[in-house]
Amino acid sequence: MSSEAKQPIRVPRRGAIGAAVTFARRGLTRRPLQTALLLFVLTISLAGTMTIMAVLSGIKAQMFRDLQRVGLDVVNIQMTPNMQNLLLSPLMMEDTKWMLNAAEGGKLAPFRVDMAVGADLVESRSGEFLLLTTTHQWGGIAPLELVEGRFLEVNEKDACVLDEQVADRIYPDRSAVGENLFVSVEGRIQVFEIVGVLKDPFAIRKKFDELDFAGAARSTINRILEFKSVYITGDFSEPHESVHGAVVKVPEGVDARKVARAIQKATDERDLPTVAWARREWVENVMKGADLTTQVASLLWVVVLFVTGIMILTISLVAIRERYRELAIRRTEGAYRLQIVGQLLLENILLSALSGCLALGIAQWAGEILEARYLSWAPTFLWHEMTLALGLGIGIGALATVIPAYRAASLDPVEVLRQN
Amino acid sequence: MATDNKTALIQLEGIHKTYQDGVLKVHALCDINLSVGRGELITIMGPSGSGKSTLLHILGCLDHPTEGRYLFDGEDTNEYRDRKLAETRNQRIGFVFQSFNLLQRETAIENVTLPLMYAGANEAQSRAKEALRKVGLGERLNHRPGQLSGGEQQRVAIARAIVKRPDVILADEPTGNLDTQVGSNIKDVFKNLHADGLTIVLITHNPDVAEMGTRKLKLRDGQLEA
Repeated sequence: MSSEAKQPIRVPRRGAIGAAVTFARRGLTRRPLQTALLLFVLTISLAGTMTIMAVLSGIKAQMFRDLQRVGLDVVNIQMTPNMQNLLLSPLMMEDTKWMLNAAEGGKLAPFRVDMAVGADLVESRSGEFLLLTTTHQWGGIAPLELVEGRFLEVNEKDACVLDEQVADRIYPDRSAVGENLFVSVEGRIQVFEIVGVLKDPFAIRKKFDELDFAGAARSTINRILEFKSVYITGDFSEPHESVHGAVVKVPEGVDARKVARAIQKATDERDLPTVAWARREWVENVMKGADLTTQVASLLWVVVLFVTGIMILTISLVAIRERYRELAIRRTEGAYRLQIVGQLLLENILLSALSGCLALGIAQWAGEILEARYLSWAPTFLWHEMTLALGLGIGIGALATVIPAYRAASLDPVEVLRQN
Repeated sequence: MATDNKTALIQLEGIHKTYQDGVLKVHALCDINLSVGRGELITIMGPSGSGKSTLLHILGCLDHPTEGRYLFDGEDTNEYRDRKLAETRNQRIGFVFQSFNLLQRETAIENVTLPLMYAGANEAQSRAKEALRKVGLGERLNHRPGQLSGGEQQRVAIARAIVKRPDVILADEPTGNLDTQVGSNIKDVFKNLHADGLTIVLITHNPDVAEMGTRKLKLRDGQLEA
């Protein structure tokens, strides 16, 4: 026996790791109640965190998709909206030529705006709106979506296209296309045949107004587009004909922001009371606002994880205290402190990893329910966010375990065995 | 009480152990000098509170003396740090306690493989089975401590102690929780282990058990008597 004892037991690393995993697995499976409790707390917390993350990412993704619909390669040029400018209309058709040149080609649609009242004489319904006089080019600049019918064609007279909101107000019970709309502008009555209904292009603006920190551009678009619109074709053949603004679609490869700055500079030099802004810039500003808002909202999952950490710490403290005798026996049999701490940590990491997988499934299920019942956007599960949530879960679990584990490993095993 | 210092597995030189109990200083061990050679079976008797367990804990590298030197196989254990102490306990010292100290949620074989797994030793399962067979528990491998009698639990503890092929087995009242018949069986197990050449230091209250020692020592008020 003595000669055998002289042979040192070599510790192959793989064997030691295998033993640690075995101890951790046994530690979890032999304490089903404690394991189930920790698994429940961790899973629910991680699922909550993942759901919050997915909901916040989802709204940003949805916003970006929606906002892209306004056309990122479009520059808006509008007169500063005040009564003097509207009455004097200092911007003229001939100005649109240098605007188009500054845009390095592309398409331009001038427009005028008037306040108008329209009526359906059949059902005696009426409504106020903005009468937007433009050219058929408008339809090729902003990516318009039609609910029904079509957009205006070249030099088409006595035809109009309604914004969805106007159509719903004046023709709530039937299709507006094909109907005659009686429009009163400054006392003049005109009749237009409705050829199409546009999906409300400014619903997005209303949706995200509170997130838009773009300043002047925002207030301009808000004021001008306060009313819903009816589009008609105008005659813009005269160079001195006054216009209220234009929209420009820049050619592919040209930076809309650069074009907006160039046009703004030119209008300043010409002393014209106009503002030029790229819709891309507006979208970026809204997205920045959304980022800020979602970052603030992210505090919610930080709080969830913090509370989870406290709960796990409490459970770990109690659970490890109950294992003092077991750990003392392990110490007696040759486990060193680090192995004890490592075993308890590994147990927690395995548990956290399992919780993470379960939480991901629960979060996706919760996301589907939220989307079906409460949200107007789909929660988006981004792999890097889910990895972050899982990593934080494991990290918090490990942090909450390491203190009681180290404390347990540092206890005098003799004293523990004597007391228990 | 002395063995040839050159061959001594265990050498205690002027060991003192003092505990602080509030304002009182309790001298658990006073100037203990002891040499244990390889292959010896030493029994130590003494009344409660005489310092038997304290001595065993120092011998088992579970506790440090307040004063004095403890040489294990020629090395001063005072210089050992946590890891070296743990390795010594794991690979060179086998423990058998009065209260068995088995892991209640683990089976007999899992309890026995425990020290081997910490050592990362190969063939842990087969060595554990062999150790359990040696103590007569070859048929109870997968029973948990709660499913075993006191005597069987102590046999599992002995198997756990011998499975690592230690230099010495330290037994603290191994028959203390067992009835006479079962205690006698356990005594036989220790006799057999000693016959196989194992060094054993056994602490007991029981004069019958103490009788089997090749050297019989007494501990009284923290002092060793021949």
